[in-house]
Amino acid sequence: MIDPASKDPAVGLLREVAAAGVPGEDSLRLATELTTRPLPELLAELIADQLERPVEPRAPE
Amino acid sequence: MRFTFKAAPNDAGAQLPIIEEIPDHPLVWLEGRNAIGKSLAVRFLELATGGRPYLNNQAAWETLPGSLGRVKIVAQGASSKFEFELFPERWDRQAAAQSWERLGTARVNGATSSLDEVRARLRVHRIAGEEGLSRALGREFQTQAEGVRQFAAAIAGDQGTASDLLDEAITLIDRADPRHLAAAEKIVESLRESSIRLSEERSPIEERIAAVRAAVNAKASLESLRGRGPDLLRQISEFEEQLKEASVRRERAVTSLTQLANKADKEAELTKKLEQIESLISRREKAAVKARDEVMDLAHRAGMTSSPDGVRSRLDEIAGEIKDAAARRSELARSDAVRVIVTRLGDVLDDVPGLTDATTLFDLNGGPVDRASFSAALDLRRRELDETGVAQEVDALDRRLLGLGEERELLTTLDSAIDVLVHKREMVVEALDQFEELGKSLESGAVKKLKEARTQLNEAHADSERLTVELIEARHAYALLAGGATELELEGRIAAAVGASSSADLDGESDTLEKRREQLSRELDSLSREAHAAEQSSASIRLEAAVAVQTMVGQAEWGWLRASLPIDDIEKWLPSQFTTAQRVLSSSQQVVDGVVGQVGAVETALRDLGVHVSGEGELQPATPVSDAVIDICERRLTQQFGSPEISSALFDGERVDRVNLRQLVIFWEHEGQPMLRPLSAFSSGEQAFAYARALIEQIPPPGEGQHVLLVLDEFSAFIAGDRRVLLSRLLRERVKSGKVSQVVLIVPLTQDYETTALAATGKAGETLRRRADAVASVGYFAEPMLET
Repeated sequence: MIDPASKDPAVGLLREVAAAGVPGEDSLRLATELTTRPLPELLAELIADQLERPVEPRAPE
Repeated sequence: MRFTFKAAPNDAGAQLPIIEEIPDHPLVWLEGRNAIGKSLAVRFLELATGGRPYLNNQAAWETLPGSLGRVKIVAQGASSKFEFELFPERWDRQAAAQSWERLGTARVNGATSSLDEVRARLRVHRIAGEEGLSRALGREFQTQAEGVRQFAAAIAGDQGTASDLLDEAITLIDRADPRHLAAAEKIVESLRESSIRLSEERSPIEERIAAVRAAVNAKASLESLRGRGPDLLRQISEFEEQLKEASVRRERAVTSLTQLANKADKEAELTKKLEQIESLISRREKAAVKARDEVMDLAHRAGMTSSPDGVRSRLDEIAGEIKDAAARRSELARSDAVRVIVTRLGDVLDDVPGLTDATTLFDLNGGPVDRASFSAALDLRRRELDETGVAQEVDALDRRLLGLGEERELLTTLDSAIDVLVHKREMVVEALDQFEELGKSLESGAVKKLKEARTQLNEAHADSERLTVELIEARHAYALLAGGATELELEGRIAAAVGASSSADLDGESDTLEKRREQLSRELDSLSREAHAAEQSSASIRLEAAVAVQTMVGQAEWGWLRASLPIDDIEKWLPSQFTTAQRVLSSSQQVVDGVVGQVGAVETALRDLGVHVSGEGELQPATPVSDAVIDICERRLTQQFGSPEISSALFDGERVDRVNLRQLVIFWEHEGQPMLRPLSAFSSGEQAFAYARALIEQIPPPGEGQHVLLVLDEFSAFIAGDRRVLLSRLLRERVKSGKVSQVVLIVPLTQDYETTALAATGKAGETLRRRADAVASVGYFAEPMLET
């Protein structure tokens, strides 16, 4: 039974959708952490993640 | 907990019926007629505690505000009292899921309270027994969607802040990127080079214009000389002859006067007076001649005739030219302000005592700037500004203004001298009039002759005077024709200026050159303005870069940026590092900005699934998110249906393999054989009851001090046969174990209590009579649920 005013079921579902590897999974994962962690910490971690990602080659124009 | 309900009529007098009370029993049996507001009361209780009972019933929601006025609900427990007031007239009829705050007000133990404060103490769960499995599941997905929507609203503020911070970080990094300054300085340099090129192009054109002008002037002089020159020379010769003759006459008259004066000795007194006037006339004539010579000299220097009108006309022209030149000078001074300031700044530095080349003047971007390097930068800047051509034009205008000032001074002096000359001549005429008046009193022949001689002298003097002026003016006019040059000299000048071969169309060439020069001047002006703007832009970029670096390096609020990028060394960054930082920040911002869309996509997928499962619509075209949501819900349902209660009731205790929500079917195995059945086929009371029972078991237990009310609405289908026993046991067990605080079972009227009471006796009869009275009075009765 879902309690509509509780945030936990929504967070759980969003985490599961992110774990399914959908496009935009980073955004969903970030959404689930926005209410629980300090914003500066989240931003620093997000940038560190992006730094570690390889640069995607640009499509020829 | 005891609940009381009261609904007032609205302004139009409409008032839906609603039950008055749910009594304070752990297990309440509430039985009554239809349409007396049993379900309505519970739905309002759900609304007041944050539920959304109308999510699947928009039509009912839209009609509510027109059907009743304000609703008051009071819930009285052992330690808590809740007072809710709902304002249907304020509700948004189009949104069954609007904010809780808009629905009404809540007070807990007398204090105005938020939804969180209410829910910390009171939670209401309603399970509708009239729904089949499809509708129950559909409602479940809609509820989940609402939970996701509320979660999205809760994180919207932080998400927006994060996006804004990244946006600002991108701007700061971009401003600190030295490539912008390099590009701006390149533009400035390019404009300067263009300006120099145009100036170089204009210089020979101006030289050619000066030469053509000289040739044009010489040609005009030559033509004038050839036209009027001979006549003027003849006139000059005649004037010279006439002047000689007048001079002879004057000499003779003077001699006669002297002789006649001696003869008139007897009239000594009168003669003495005449001699005095004679002397006066002579003095005044000398003064007039002196004034005339001065006028002629000034007129010659000014290149003018002695005509007062001509002088004043030229003075007016000069005033206009000075005004125009001064206006242009002022305009250039404004655009030349930077050059003047740079020049002045250098002068100021030279005047400051005690400054050496090594003296530090200020810090720039963390490094000291000494006087020597600052002065060198000023010199460089001044030279750059000198090359724009503005300074040259300013100098030319200054020279022009000086020349006009000198000419105006000369002409003003000439104008005054002409006034003096006129006055002197008037004085001579006045003395002559006195002389003539005195002569009238003389009767003697000597005096008469004296008078005649005087007249002759006057005439000779006047002729001499007139002829002198005419001779000077004729000579001057001749000099003006060619500045005293001969035809040969003028032809030589034309050839020297433009060459003998190109003198044919000097006016045409002059026009062409003037147009080209004007065009170049306009282009130079435009370039000057562009260069000025580019310099300002360059300075602005430099300043912005310094501020951006200072902000990121020094301000505490940008600590997160320093923690993830080597901002402290940003002034040593390579261009590639700026590119990388921009890429990383942009991709981070995309992730942040994607939060709204991705969470919204999950909510949409859940709503879409709820509509589809309820049988109210088709699934929308699949997206990766909707596929993931459906897969997750299928997995969860498969697990839920695997619980012993549901498995036993719906699948003969067999294992459920999979729930397919796209096709709305359930797969399971029966005695080793794969089975398949549509969800819509699970609609019997038994099957729905099994699902409802599973839902009851999944209700989260009460928190500390929290009252959890479970309402089973429209459960008539479940109370027949042995299901009533099963349900009663389940509910008692939930209450007894503390997993639910209170249960209300709502059922329609099961019998005609008035009739059955008549036939019953004893305690049973009393009970039936009490129920019959209650039904007759308020349409329902509510009492503790009996053990069965």
